[in-house]
Amino acid sequence: MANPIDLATLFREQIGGRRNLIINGAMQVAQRGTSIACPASTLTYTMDRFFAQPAGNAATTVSQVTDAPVGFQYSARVTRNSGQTGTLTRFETPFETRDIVNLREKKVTVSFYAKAGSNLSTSSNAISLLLFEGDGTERARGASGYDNQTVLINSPKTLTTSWQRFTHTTSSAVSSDTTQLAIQFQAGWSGTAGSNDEFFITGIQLEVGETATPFEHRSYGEELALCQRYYQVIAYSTVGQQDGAYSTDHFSVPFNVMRALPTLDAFTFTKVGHVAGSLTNLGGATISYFNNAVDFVWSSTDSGYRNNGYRVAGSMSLKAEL
Amino acid sequence: MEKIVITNARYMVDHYTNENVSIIADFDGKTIGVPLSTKNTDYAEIMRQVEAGELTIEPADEVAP
Repeated sequence: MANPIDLATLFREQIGGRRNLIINGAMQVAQRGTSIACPASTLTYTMDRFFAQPAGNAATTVSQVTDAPVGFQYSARVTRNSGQTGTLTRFETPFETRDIVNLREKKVTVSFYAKAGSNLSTSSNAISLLLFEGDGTERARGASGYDNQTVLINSPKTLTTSWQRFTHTTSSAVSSDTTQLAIQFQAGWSGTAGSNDEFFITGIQLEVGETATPFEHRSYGEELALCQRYYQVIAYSTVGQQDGAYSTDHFSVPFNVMRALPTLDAFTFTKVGHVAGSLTNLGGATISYFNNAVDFVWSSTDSGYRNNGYRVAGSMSLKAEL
Repeated sequence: MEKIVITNARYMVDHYTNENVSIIADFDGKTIGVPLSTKNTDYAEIMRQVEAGELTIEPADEVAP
């Protein structure tokens, strides 16, 4: 019989569904936009769940592009901006502790597809794959080492201008007490960036075991729902109310539960109806969080409609990233 | 790496209970609202800078009864 199922493998390694621990590994979800400027020396989230952290003078742009291997719709293009002279950009996805507990005392395998841009400046056209673990509080690793850090993988991968799949299995198991984990790709730029000093990456997978299985595709809806644990853009239409007793305006916008109470990253609203108006900054508002809703309250300046309601429409972005 | 520049940090109070409920601050020049939650990374960064003596959070404006 061809390709018989090896029961030992079946129970040692996860070959069924939900093999891939990485969220948005195919770069499908880009809630923040499809081209994200990443300033030097700053950690900036790009495609959902992935951030870039360029070193000094290595300002980078990460774009969701349709240049992708067969079977994929998108990749992330990581470009050092033209004229920049900095020598490093990190591109990372970190994990929550609760999602990596099942990796303890097991070897894991990372796989991904990548290709070089036409003018990639890194030595030997390589980018480095790194897998970090630690035993502290869950967080992004970036440039700050984890607590009692172990580097499970540190391996340069030589790219060409054609798509290739790379795989790497750890030589040792994940620690029995690991609580921090991050996959990081590093581009060690050289010289002054010209045009197309970049690499493309997609199909990133982290799985238990010593075998790189085919990339596990998820539907866009599934992937978006997973991403919204960390970042949500909510377009809303709700009802506001002026409270006569306290001379305040008030409305609430609910959101799906996130990793932590989220930062209100941006918002707009427009009153429609009784008294028209708009507010595009947070300067006048109090923000509070009741269960899974953001409450906006601010001192009312319109005394003529106390205890009246009105319609409010707008959008807000919520962030609960690591 | 350069640290995040946080300015104009100020507590927000609940208009009904007068208790602190969030912080409004400028992160690298962008105004954001931050919950008082240790699992929120922006709150953690604010408190790290406060404990390092690099940042002061202003009290909330008084709320009119």
